[in-house]
Amino acid sequence: MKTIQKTMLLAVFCLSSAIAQKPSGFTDGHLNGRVWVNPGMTNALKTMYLQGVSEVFGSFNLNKSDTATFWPVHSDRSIGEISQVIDQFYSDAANRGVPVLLSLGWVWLKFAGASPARLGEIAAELRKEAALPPR
Amino acid sequence: MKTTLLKKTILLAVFCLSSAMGEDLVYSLGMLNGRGWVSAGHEGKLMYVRALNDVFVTFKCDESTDFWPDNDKITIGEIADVIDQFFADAANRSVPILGALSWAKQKMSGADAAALESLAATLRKGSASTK
Repeated sequence: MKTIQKTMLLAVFCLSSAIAQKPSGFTDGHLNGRVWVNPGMTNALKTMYLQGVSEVFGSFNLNKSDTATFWPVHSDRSIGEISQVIDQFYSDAANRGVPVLLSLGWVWLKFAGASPARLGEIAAELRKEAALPPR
Repeated sequence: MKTTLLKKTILLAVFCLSSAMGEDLVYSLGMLNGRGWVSAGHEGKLMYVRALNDVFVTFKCDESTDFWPDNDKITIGEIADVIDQFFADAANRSVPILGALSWAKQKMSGADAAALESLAATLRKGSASTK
């Protein structure tokens, strides 16, 4: 009898833990908006992340034709400016599952003056992609 | 009055110059170098390496085999630790972090001490004459 009670208690505990589990700060292994908006993610850390992204895009021939969509190497935008627009993207909590790297696609469109409707479409596409099962 | 103004102007010029030099010191070849790395703090280092991971994994790159460990079991923290080892030698601190990453990759792949020193010397030479 006691064994059954213990087993049931354990099952309830595991279930409640699973339900209470916070969504992950990573999507398909990539840093996402939940980490970006975390108060511990200081401007200095955001800068380090974007500095790393910038240097890889600037130094390697990446195997995708659309890399300029995510980081135009010859842009004159500063890392601080980029960081602020990423903040805007994640100010909508619905976007926070999107990897930071992919949010850059939205950021550059915004810099280019895309309409709110177009930005909304891209955000929806990014949310959809982020919701796919891990590859 | 004129002397005070002149002094202030000189002080301002010296301040601007030293600030500019300080900024330059953490960059080599237009990239953050070992001085930037050692002043970034543990979380900053992890964030930088995390960024490299995100880009390399998402976009793939033939050249990345020389820079990025192909072993999934190596963590971001372990990579940062090996880069720390490279920059523990102050003579290496003008090397861009991406250069240190290539050294870290070799070290994690089991390269011997002579090969690592040879690579470090090449990296130092490559970053010595440029900002």
